[in-house]
Amino acid sequence: MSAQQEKIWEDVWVNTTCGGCYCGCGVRVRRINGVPVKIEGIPGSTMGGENGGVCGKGAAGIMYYHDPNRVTKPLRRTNPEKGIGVDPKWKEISWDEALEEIAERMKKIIADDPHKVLLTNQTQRASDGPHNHLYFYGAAVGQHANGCFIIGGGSLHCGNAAHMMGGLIHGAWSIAPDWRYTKYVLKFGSSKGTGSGHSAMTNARLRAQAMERGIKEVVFDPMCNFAGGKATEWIPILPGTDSALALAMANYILNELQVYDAQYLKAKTNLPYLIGPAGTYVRDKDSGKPLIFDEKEKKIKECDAPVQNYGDYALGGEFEVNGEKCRPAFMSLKEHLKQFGMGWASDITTVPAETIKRIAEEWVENAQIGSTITIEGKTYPYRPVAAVTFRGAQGHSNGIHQVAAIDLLCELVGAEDVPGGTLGWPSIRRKYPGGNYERKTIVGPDGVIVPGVFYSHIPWPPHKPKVPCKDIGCVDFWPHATLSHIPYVKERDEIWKKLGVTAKPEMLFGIACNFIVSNCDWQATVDFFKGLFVVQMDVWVNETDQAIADIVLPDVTWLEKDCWSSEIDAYFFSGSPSYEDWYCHMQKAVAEPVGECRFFMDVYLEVANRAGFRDKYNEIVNQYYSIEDEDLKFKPGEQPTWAEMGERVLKWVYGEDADKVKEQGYATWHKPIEDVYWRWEINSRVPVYMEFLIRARNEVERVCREVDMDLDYEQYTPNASWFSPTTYKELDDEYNMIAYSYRDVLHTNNTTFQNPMIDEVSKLCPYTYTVTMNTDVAKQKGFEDGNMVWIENRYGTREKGRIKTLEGQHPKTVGIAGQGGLWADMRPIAKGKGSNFCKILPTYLRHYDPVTGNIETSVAVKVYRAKD
Amino acid sequence: MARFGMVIDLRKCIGCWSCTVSCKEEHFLPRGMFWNRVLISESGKYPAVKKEMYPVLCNHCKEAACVDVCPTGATNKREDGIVVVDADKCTGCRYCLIACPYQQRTPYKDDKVEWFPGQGFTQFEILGRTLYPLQKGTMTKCNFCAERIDEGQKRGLKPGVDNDATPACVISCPVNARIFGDLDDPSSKVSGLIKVRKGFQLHPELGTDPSVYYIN
Repeated sequence: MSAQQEKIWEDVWVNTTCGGCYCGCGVRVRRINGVPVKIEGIPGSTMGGENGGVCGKGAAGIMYYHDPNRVTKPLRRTNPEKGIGVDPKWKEISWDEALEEIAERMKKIIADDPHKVLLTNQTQRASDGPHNHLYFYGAAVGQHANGCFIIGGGSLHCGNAAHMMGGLIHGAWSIAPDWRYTKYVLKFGSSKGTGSGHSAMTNARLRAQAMERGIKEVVFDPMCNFAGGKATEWIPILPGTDSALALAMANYILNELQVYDAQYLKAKTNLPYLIGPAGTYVRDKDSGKPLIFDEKEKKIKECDAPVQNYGDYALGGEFEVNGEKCRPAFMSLKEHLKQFGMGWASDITTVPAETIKRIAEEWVENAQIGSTITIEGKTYPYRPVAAVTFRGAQGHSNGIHQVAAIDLLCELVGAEDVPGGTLGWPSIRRKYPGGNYERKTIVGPDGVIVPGVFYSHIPWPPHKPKVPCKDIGCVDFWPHATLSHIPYVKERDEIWKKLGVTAKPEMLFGIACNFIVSNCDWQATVDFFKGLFVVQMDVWVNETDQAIADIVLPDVTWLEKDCWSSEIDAYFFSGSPSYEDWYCHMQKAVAEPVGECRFFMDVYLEVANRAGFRDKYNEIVNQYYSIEDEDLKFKPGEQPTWAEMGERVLKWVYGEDADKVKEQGYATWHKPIEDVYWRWEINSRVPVYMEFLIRARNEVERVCREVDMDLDYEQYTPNASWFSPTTYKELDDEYNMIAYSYRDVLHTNNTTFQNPMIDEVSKLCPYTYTVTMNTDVAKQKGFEDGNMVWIENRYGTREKGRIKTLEGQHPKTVGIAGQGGLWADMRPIAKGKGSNFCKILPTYLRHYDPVTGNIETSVAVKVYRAKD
Repeated sequence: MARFGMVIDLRKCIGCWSCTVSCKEEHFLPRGMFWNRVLISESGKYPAVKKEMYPVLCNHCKEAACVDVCPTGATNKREDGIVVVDADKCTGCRYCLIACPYQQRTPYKDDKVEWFPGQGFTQFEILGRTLYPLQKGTMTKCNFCAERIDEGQKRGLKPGVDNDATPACVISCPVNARIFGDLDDPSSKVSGLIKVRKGFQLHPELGTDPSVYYIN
């Protein structure tokens, strides 16, 4: 079979950025006779897979464009009733009518209180849209923080704890092993390098190269599938118990083996900081800075005092400052860890004690403490071990301690942001040569880094928890919640009353979100949002739109989008990791918009123009991109389109090369080694001892007592500790299994379920659309492959699924891949596929991490036969 | 003359299905037809379990059973070892389907199958049927992207080295788990990998001598 060349009048490849998930790999799209037909990677770019490689989910992206089920005209609900199973009775309306109504209502609402408007987007659109412009939008209408930002597609299953700790430790949104130099990787509930997580295909490419070199990869996971199935060693573990294992390892390393990187702890952590009897820092009376003891000079000093040798900082000893007894925080940690024995951890995790001990020994041995490596003429500590976690391990009611305990393993051996260790990435966006716009970490109070960009609640310095709260997210009270969980909590009305929230939301303006089915208990979500004026910009009418939207505006797919800011804004999701060239990427339109579809940024701008807050938005954009050139700045009264804005911003960001970069769609340039291992260029410290939590606790506890709010503030404690996830308190003889979800390489939330190419491949995979259960357990219960079962939580919510038995599954658990079980009438490919895990998540405040707001993403369930 | 073959590195493959999807786009294959698949299973007993994941495609066997049984000569082996089907000669008798021990033959029996069932053909499908027409009632299978190889070689490009002369599934693999080249050239990358990494074929006992090797 060969192509009939004579019938081809156009055959071009367009370089752009994939919009299949939040990773945003560089891709090129083939267009023949005006029709997008194929997607590949860009061989010359390192933003993504190997030499033209792209994952199956990305390659299938053409089908979003071709889908006849797309919304192509604005729709208005004519049925005033809202809810699941209610026909919205859509009516097509004109763009002008839709925009006028949206702008008028928005204008009135923000004049009353801007916090009554909620904004939302979803993470699939992060790479293919200006993700953070939504925050500018919120600020432009007068919102004071991100508490009006409602978690959308990525949902409560996002990495609140992972992001907050990534920010505190690395000034970054995420972490990854330094694949290029590592020798030994521990993964806890994470599929970095095997298909998920940020920069997924970049990491997959780098991991594959590392595997070829012969690294060892140990994966702790309830399931031997994506990460576990590719690991050198898969170790089954119960969901949410990773911190118990990590704490036992840390105790063994610190108190029994007594092998740790003292130089690193003294130089790069806050463990030498002196703490008083209450556990808080002893501070200099005048400067307020924490103090350390210099052993050489036998002198108390400010923590950032210049010293010739960090080795002089004391990690032990008892001191007295201003009449107050104190000691280094390291002493507190060391003593604290003693309670976490191997047998104890084994009982909790089900991992044999000898296995935990062996892994701890392998970890220390491979860390090569004391060794160095010289790269580009610079010598760094060489610690070729990396421990990473992401959504799986951190998505629990003990999320912050899960992440902190896993991070502790790296800290003890000095394997943070050094060759071979765990890298925060991307901590920097270096400016294009000859251009502007650079983002890098700076050192904040107490020596802790402040990220250059953080999409939401900035992790450092944290503000003091306070009431009354201005918005429904109550972020004033939860300073460490990356994104707020409160709108989804069952007791929200009571919480708002207690925390003094007065801005009852009236409107939601969102991008392609499907939060009804992607967070937790569906009905709890519908009940809250159905009273609002809901406007969504979307490619299809999804479940959320069908249940509660008043107006649905037709959005373009990423194949029709000219998004000049794509990588500039999304670098936090798709930046260049490890020791590879810097790159920048554009998203360029491959085809003309279908029907009356419009790019959501043009819609946002039009509404801002009509509702009268465009000047403020212009001002924020100038500030965000740090535009100093007066000719390029956006001035009051100007109302450029998104494309016209791009002409100016790109000139600022890429200088004289703006046209060149735009034309090619991407550019790469050398990354100096100082940009890779940036930690060694700045005098910052990781707050391993989370002293800030003591200070927060004082306030949180006081408020909780005053307003009679039941919150587990015990977790506001400085040393990584063990807190059993809520799920284990709800296990009993009847609800005797633990259901969890995982990310399938084929799917991004639920958007991908409507792609027929992905759908047919999902059917080839035995696990994607099924509910997995350990073979022996299934046999005991009388289940066989293909049987339909109900998975029901103790609150009476249940979901149906088809059983697939698996040897590689922890016997106590049931696995469901993501967000199936969909029912929107206008998404026929997605309808009825797979099972929905989210709906069986109970959503009382006790199911959330009290510090970071993570929802508990495992749940005690009973599983029983349903009619086939 | 070359004997083209492929090496699949199972240690690198993450099961992302890029090979499957890219192949379908390259050849405009209709819904339900696969020239590339990934077989997924597991071995062992809990907790000592191993996930098994094998990307499979036509093996372009040196001793191809499908070629032997084809009564019309439609299925034939090119000089470069690629087994192709001449649709004009294929009668759809399906002897090859039965003979292939690797289940890599797919009949094209229904030309009404749509990507979006009941909603008509998309522009993608309409264009595909114009540019790469399949003939209803004939057998289809992976052709190692012979058209890419031929076009590429005409331009002086080298299969397995230059993307434009290499099968689509190989260049689309994000982790470089698929390597293509000349098995008869001892200096080629595929020959080197088979030798050093002890490449193995699927069901060698059948004597088909596949041109697709696996390494682990």
